[in-house]
Amino acid sequence: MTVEDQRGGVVSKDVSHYDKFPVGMRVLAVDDDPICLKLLETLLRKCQYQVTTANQAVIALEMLRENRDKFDLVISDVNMPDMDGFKLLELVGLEMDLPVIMLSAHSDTKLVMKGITHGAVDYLLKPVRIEELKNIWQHVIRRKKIDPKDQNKSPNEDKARHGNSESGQGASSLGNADQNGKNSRKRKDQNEDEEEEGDENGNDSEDPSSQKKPRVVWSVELHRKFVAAVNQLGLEKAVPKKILDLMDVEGLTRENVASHLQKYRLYLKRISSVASQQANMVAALGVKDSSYLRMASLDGFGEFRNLAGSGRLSSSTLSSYAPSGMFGRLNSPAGLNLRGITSSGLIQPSSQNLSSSINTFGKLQPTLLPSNQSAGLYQGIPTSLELNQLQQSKCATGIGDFDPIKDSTGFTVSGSFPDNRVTVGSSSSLLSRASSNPLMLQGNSQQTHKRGPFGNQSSLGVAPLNPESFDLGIGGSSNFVNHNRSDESWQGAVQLSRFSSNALPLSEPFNHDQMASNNLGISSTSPHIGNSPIEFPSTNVVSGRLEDSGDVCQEGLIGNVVHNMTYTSKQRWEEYKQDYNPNMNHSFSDINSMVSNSGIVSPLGRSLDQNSAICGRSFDVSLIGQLNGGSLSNAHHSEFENSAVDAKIKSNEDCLLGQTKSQDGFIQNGYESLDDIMNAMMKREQNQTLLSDGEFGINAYSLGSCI
Amino acid sequence: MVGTDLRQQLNNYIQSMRDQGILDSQFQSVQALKTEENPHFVLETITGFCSDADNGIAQMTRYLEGPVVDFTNLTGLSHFLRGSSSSIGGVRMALACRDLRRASEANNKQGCIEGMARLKHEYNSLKEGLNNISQIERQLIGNAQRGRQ
Repeated sequence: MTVEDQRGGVVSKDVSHYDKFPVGMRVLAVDDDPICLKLLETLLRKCQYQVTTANQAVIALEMLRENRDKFDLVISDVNMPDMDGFKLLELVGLEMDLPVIMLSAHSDTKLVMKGITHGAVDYLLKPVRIEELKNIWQHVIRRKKIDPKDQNKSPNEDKARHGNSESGQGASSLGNADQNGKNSRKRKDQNEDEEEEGDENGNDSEDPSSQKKPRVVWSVELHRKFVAAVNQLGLEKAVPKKILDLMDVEGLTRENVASHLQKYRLYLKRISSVASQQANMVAALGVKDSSYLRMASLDGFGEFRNLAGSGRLSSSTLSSYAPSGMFGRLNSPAGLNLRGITSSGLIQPSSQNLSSSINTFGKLQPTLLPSNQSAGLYQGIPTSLELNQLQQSKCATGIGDFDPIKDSTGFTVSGSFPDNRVTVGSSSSLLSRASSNPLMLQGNSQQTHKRGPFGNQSSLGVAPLNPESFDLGIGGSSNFVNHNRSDESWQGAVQLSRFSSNALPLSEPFNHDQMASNNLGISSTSPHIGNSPIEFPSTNVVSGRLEDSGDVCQEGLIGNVVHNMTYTSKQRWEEYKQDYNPNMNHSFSDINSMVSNSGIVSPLGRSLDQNSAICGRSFDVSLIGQLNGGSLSNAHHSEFENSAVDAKIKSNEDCLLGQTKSQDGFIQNGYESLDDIMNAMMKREQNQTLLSDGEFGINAYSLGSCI
Repeated sequence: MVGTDLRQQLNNYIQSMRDQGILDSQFQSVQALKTEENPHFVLETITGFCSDADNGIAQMTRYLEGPVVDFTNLTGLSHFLRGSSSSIGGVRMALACRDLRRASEANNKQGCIEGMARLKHEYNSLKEGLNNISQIERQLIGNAQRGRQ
C-alpha cells in the first residue's frame, strides 16, 4: 500500500462528501484500548476517511443518536468494559441502520459468526492492517441505494445485490436490519469473493467518482404500494418492471424496485426461517413454541404481505430481530432486538398494522395460539386501539425507552423473557403501536402457549378484548403472562396493563387481587371494564417483577405501559410484585394451576399473590383475555388468574421463551392487525393446547379449553 | 550522513528484533503511519503502549496475587493487552497474553502464574527494544528538524 497524501487525515469534509467517495467517508471508531484506537484512527486517516473516535460504547451511542447522519460507518471493538460490542452492534443496526464492522483480537469462529448474525458487515482482526481498511467503504456503498447509472458502482452494485438489502432506507430500516442480518450471513460466505471484488473495486473506486447515489427512501407509503403491487402480481410473478409500472411512482427506477424486491424476498425468507429458528429455539427451550414458530413463519409470509404496509417494515425488522434476538439471547439480545424492533417495527403506528400484525402474530404462532387467542381476547377489550395506541405509543416508547434503562434490559426483558415478556409488551404495544405491538404480540404469542389453561379462559381476555387491535395487545399480553415465568408473565402483565389502560376497564374485575395484579394490563385492558383500575399499576409491578427476571428493563417497559393505564392497579401490582417475585421463579406452576380455572382470572388471582409470578405470566394474557370480555367478571379473573397463573407458570419458562420467539416472529409479521391476530390467536389457542408441551400442558390446555 | 546512518541503525535494530521474533511486520505499519505532520507518532504510540502495559501488568499481578484470584478481570485484562501488543507488533508478547488468557479462562491458577511470568519476561524484552527504538527515533527527528532549519 502506498502512503499517499498523508494529508488524507486532514481532508476537509466537504458538504457533499460523497462526491469523492470513498474519500471523506465518515467513520466512527470505538475501542476501549487507547493504543488500538489511536492506531485505527491514524490508519483510517491515511485512507482518507474522516474519523471520529470514542473509547466508550456509550459515548459512541450518544454521538450516533445525536445525529445519525453524521457517520457513514462504525467500527467497534468486541470486548469493551462498558458494553458488549455485539450489543452496540445491534443497537446501531437497529436504530441507525449504519454498517458496523467488528474488531477483535480474537479470531474465534464463533465470535465471528456471532458478529455476522448480529448484523455486522465485517469482522476484522487486530492488529488491523491498512489494506483491509481500504476496502471498508464498500460496506457503505452496499447499503446505499445504488443508482444503477452509476457505473463505478456497478461492480459494487452487483455486490450490493448480493449483500443486498443492506441499504437501509430510512423507512425500511427495519427491514434492512433484517436483511442486513441476512446479508451479513450471506456476506460471510461471500467474504472471500467480496474481498477480491473489493480489491478490484477498490482500484476502481480510487478515483473520486461522483457516485453519490441518491438514496431512495422506502417510506411506508412506498413500501405499501410496493407490497400491493407484488401481491397483485403474485410473488413469483412479480418482476421489477411490472411492479414499477403498477406502483407508478415518479423518480423510482427499476433498479430501485429490483433491489427492494430482493430485500423483500429475503425478508420473507427470513420470516420463515425465523419461524423455524424460533421453533428451534423453542424446541431448545422445550417449549412448544417451535411449532408456533414454524407456523408463525408460514403465516408470517402471508402476513408479511399484509403487513406490506407500514407493518411490513417493522415486521422485517422484527423478523430480523427475532432471530437475532431470540437466538442471541433471549435476555439481552432479545431485549435489544426487541427494542430495535420495537422502535423500528413499532413505528407502525397504524393500528392497522397491529391488527395485521396480530394476525400474523396469531398465525405465526400456531402454538402460540393460546396467546394469540388471548390476543383475540383482547379484542374484546375495548381498550383496543385507543388504549393500545396510548399504550402502544407508550409501550412502544416504553420499550424503546427502556433502552436507556438498560438498553437491552428494556427489551431484553421483553426479549429475554423471550417469549413471555416480550410478547406481552408487544401485545400491548401492538395495540396502539404497530410497532410496539410486535413485541407485544410476541408476548402474546408466547402467552398463548402458556395460556393453555388460560386459553380456555379467554386467552387472556383477548377474546373479550375489543376487536380493536388492542385486543391483540391484550391477548398478547396475557400470553406473556403465562409464560413468563416471572418475567414473562410480567410482560404479559405489562401488556395487559397496557391494554388495560385503555381497555382495562376491567381493572375492576381484576382488582381482585389476583387478577388485578396479574392482569395488570389485562384487567385494564378490558376496556369494557371501564374501571380499568387496571391493575396496571400492577404492570408496573409487573415490571418490578420482571425485574426478578432480571430484566430491569421490563419494569421500565411495564412501567411505561402501566402508567398509561391507570395506576390503580399499580398498587396491586406492587403487591404482586412482591409476591410475584418469589413466585416468579416458581410460581408459574401455581399460576398454571390457577389458570386452569377458567380463566385468566384465576391465574391472575393467584398471581396476585404471586403476582410476581403471575403477572409476568400469562395471566396477563389471560387476564386480558378476561378483560377483554370486559365482562370478565372478577370471578373470571380469578379463575383466569389461576389458570393463567398456572398456565403461565408452566408455560412461562418454556412458553416464554418459545413464545418470545414466536412472538418475535409474530411481531414481525405484522402486528398489523391486532384484531386479526387476536382472532388468529384465538384459533391458535385452540390448537395450541398442544403447545403446552409439558409446561403448559396444564395451563395451555386449560387455557385452551377456556377459550 | 548522520541521519542516514542513524536511520540505517534503526532499521538494523528493528530487523534484529524481528529476527528474534519480538516484533513483527505490524511495527512497520505503525512506522508507516508516521507523517510529516506527526513525526512523533511512533514515539507517542510506544510511550502510550508502555504505560498501558505497565499498568496492565501491575494490575494483573494484583489480580493474581490476591487472596482469591480474580480470574474474570484477569481474563479481560490479558485480552486487552493482547490487542495492544499485537497492534504495535509485539507478537511474542501478544502470544504470551493469549496463553495467559486461556489459563485464566480455565481458572488455572498455576497456569496463570506461569503465564504471567512469561508475559513479564516478553514484555521486558519488548519494552527494552522499544525504548531503544524510541531513542534512535528521537535522534532522527531531532536531526530532521535541525536539518530543516
